[in-house]
Amino acid sequence: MDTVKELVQFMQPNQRLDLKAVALTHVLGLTGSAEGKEAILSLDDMLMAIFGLTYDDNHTVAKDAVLSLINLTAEEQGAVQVFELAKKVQPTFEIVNVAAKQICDDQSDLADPWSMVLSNLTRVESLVHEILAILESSEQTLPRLAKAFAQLDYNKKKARLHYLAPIFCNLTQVPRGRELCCQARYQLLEKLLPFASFEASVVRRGGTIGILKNVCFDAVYHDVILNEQDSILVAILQPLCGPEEYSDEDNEKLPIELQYLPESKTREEDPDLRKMLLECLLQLCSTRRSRDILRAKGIYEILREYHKWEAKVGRDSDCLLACENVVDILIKKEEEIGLDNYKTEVEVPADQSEKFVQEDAAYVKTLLD
Amino acid sequence: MCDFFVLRLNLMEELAAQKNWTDEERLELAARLDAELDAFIEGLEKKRYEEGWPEDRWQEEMDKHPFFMKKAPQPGDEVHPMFEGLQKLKYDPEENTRDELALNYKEDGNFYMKHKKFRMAVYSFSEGIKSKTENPDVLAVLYNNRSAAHYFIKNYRSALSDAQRALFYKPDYTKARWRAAQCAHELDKFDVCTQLCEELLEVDVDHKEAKTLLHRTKMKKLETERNQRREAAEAKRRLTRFHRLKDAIEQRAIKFDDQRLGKKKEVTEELLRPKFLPLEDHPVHLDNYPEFLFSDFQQQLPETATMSDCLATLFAEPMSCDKANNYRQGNVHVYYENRKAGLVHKVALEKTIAETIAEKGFFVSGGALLFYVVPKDTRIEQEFLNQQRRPMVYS
Repeated sequence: MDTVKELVQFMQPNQRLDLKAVALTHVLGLTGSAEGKEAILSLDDMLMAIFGLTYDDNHTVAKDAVLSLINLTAEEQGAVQVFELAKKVQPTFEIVNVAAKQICDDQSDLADPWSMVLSNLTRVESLVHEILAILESSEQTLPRLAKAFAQLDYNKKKARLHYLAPIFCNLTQVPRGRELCCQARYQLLEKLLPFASFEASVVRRGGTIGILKNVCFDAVYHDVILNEQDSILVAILQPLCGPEEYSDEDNEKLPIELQYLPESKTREEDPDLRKMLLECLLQLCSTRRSRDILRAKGIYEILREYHKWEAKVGRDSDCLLACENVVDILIKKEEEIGLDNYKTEVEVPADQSEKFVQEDAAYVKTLLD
Repeated sequence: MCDFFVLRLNLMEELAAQKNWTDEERLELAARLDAELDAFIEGLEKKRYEEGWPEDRWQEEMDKHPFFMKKAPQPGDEVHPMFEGLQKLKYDPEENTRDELALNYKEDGNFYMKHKKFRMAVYSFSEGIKSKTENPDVLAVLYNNRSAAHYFIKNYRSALSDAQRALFYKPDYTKARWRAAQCAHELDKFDVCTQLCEELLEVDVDHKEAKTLLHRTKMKKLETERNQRREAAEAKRRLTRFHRLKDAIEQRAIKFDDQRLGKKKEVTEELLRPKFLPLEDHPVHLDNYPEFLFSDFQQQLPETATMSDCLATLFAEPMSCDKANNYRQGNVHVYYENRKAGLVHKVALEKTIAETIAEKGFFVSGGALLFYVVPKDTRIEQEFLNQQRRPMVYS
């Protein structure tokens, strides 16, 4: 502990470069282990020194400082501690603004590590409101982040910025985040959506699908999702579509982006992501109006092919169940369903709910031979 | 003119000297003045005024005069010397700096734009660009304006490249960017258009037209891509269908009389395409009644049907030209022609089409199966059989 404390003196901005570099390398090593992290988090001075070095002129030092912050904010407790301390110190270390600025700077070397720090911070639900307020305080910040995300060659120093996807996903945990995303004025969501089927990075894909899920679970946005433009629906369905050929008649039903997909079309590889997408669809099935739209757009036909594929190729029983849940609703006539809104009109007693979960679990086991 | 003026002056002096005038005196003076004036005019040298415009061509002259002309002289026209002088003042590189010159041409171009003379405007702006000004603002305006002129005459490609050059000189040129976006949309350059619209929206989130265009270009892109995918799927389907057909044909060893000799026997789509105009689908069967020079077509005939079945369908409705009712089941013979050998063969009516086709002398002709139907044991049959047939010659 004392040795850790001693390092602080070598980590002052005006220290000799070699000393700073060596001390920081040591600290970075420590943040890799749970005990090391704990030791550092207990020393406010140490954290402040790390904050200070993120500005360092020397690229390696600055980078190591930010990398240490990534490790320190990896768990909820650390994230909260770093965030709170950054507010408290004099002068305040505006960690969110610094991160946003670095990410938006197309010449920044540190855009990627900073995006990971921000992703870590936003994961903590209790911090999201505050972070969102900071990001919103300048009108340009969010649109610029969205641009940095959407434009693949945005950063001229080859930062990939994939971690912006989980950042946006985390921000949509809270209603205000969803509201901002869905606002027609900035068309943020519009820019993010295509990455739900971005093959090159599972982080990007996963984050984007997470946004979709957050938005779909909020019934407020069902009308926005099922508008005539279909862009959100397409983002959900695209990863579930394969190369199967449909009749011309069926093709006509589908959203235009999904018509006549080529033989080379593949499905989402990650079963967790497939399941999330199917859960999105299930959420959209809650009202009669949206069910009608989903049927008219040929969702049933897509899921029919998907189910065959999942049983044969994908072979994930949770996904199969998730798919069947949607199909079970869509296949029914509205007269059979007999209610407008599943969410508001059906109440499941607690004991029943548990029973259903158990039944599902038992059923899942039988799905794959 | 000058003389006359002096004369008046003298008179005035004379007049001023006298005071009380009577009416008679006044009249007398007026008469005298008139007489003097006449005498003066009389005394002037007699010559015609020739400097002015000739009476018969004054309108033409008026049009040539730079002050009165109604339209600017077109390149190649003979120009009025005065116009030439003015032009020199305005366009001579020695009288003007490069910037002035460029701006003069810009003014001209704008003037033409106002009067919807877009081609002339393009010419003026081009001259302005040629003036070699190095002022980026002036260049940006010149390119932007030429882009506008091109846009109005629907030269979208030129309009786009000019707008982009204007943006090169002035990156925040909203007008040029907006036009570039519109051109890109017209040219189906969806990605270029999308990017330009996004740049516009970055500066002004509430740019309604840009938003609309962004959406329109997106929809157009999606549709184009869908159509390409559909065509690809269609082509693939056609190909598999053709391969199936080809396999079937090769399996049955069907022969074609228009297939070139010597080459490897290859079934091509061309061979299978019916050459008879009214037929467009693939598998075709054709019946010919030589007597009436009349053909009947049957399409989508199963190969397991016999010729009798075929005739039954044909004769189900009596033919209008067959007054004697010669053409009915049992009263006709069916032949096919072997054009290669110049022979005809009789078809056994109880054989299926597949069996007939498999006969040695049968060739598919012009992408179709061709049969001749004639009434049994009649003059018509004789004539048909005795027709001159020459074996086909191959090139």
